[in-house]
Amino acid sequence: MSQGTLARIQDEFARALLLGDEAAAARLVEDGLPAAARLQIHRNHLFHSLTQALMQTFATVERLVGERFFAGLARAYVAEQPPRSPCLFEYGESFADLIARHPACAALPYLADVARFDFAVNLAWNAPDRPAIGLDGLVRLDADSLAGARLALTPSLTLLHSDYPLAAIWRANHRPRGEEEGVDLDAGGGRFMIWRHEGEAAWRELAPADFAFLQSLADGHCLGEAAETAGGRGSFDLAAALSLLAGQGVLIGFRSAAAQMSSVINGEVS
Amino acid sequence: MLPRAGIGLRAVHHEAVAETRPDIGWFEIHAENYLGGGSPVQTLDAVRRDYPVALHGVGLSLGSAQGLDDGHLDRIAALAERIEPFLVSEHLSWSVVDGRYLNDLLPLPYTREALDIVAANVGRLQDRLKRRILVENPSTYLRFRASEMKEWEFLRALVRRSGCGLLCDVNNIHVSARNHGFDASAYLAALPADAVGELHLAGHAVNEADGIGILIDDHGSPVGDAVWRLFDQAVALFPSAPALVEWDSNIPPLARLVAEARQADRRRAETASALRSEPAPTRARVA
Repeated sequence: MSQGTLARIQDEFARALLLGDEAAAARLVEDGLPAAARLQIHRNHLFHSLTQALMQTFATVERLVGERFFAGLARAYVAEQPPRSPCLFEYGESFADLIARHPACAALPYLADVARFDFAVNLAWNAPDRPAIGLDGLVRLDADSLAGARLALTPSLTLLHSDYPLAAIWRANHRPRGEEEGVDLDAGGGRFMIWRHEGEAAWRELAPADFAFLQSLADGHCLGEAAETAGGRGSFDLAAALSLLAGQGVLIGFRSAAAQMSSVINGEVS
Repeated sequence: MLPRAGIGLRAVHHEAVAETRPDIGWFEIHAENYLGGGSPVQTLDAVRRDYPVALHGVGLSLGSAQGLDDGHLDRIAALAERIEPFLVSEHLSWSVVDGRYLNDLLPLPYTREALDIVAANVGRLQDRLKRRILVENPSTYLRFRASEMKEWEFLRALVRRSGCGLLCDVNNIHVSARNHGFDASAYLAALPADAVGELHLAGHAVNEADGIGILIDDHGSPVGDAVWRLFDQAVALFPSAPALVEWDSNIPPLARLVAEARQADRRRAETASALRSEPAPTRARVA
């Protein structure tokens, strides 16, 4: 038997909840309340509870579009991409992509980036804890080793480049209800790093060169390559950039690809 | 000494717990809310210094025909190792199919096939955590035609097969009993008393669908009178099992939960003193 009865039941049940498929109803005892109404209880719970979870993560989006509009987006997202993990703070990674292609959001071109910003803030609050290393972790390397080092960055970090003033939009929509401020959407975009610093979600706007440097490190390039990339985007001060990252708790060590680097840091001879 | 009642720790109360350090027996956490980092984990570490903590999973999906998710099991095991909970529990339900998490404690058909699957999953969890876990009875709104036994028979068999204990949620028993027309007291009396290691208390909602009332387990109101009466019977049958008060919607200020936990302590004390002055109840009498 390739698929047991329970596996078939669970498959049908999932289709009933996500898609409204009716096959599962035939499996249920009929007494009093019809089987379809009993399934509907679970269907309502699925969509309602996940909408609430998304609303919590994407609070700025919800504030911008209102609860009813948001619920419509959430419903479409839940049906299309239900969670892959029972940790609901991890849910919604691709919600911004749905917003970007949803016809109802066509008149709100900034909304997808606001969602990306919301998710980044959520990640900053909830990402796993990793102890940061300071600059002294780097100065122990000689110049050649330093250039070839691949730095590991905090898992709470998101880098986001937007055509819209995301920080201003976020701030304006996290004031008390009724005290929202207008935002000039043509004020220009920005390059943001969003991460957890001293236990709280933080963000900072970066100059193009610093952003390119950090993006290159995040992509796994070594320090030398990242500095070269950054230099191509404008004036770049490597020492200042490293000192900023170390001071903000963004550096957590070296990537495992450069295992020899770890042993240098640990003072071991490999 | 009688076991004192605890409270389900929720994020909205993190600050109030840190500030007021309420005088209660223990806290229970939903494992899935503490698998990241940052302030939830810091709060948990602080709570652990002052209170016993129980770990209550909501996402392991013990009833999944496809088995437990390795990655999630690893994360739960790492959390259990780190926080050393005095109890670990999960539900007699399922929520995952093909890697999609349906965010609900979904009902199982009570068949021999399902028993094999749940017993294997419970066994795997217990082997991984190197401890006995408690399995909670669900609240249900529907029944499968395929079921071959009663829920309490399924739980008894699961205890025999896997060596697990039981988390007896008296609100869930009340909800399911009303929804399906069985006797809640008889259900309690049919549970293997030695296996029951924890009790849950919560409120439920009454919904009207097509003119037919159905109880919904929403943990969004105070514990009802009928559930308190069932709790009195439960503490008589399972005197060493600590009780927990749970709220998950319309969550009131922490003080309300503390008051409900105290109420559970008072009722337990009253039941204990009544039992001392009367002959011990037998199972037959309660049933």
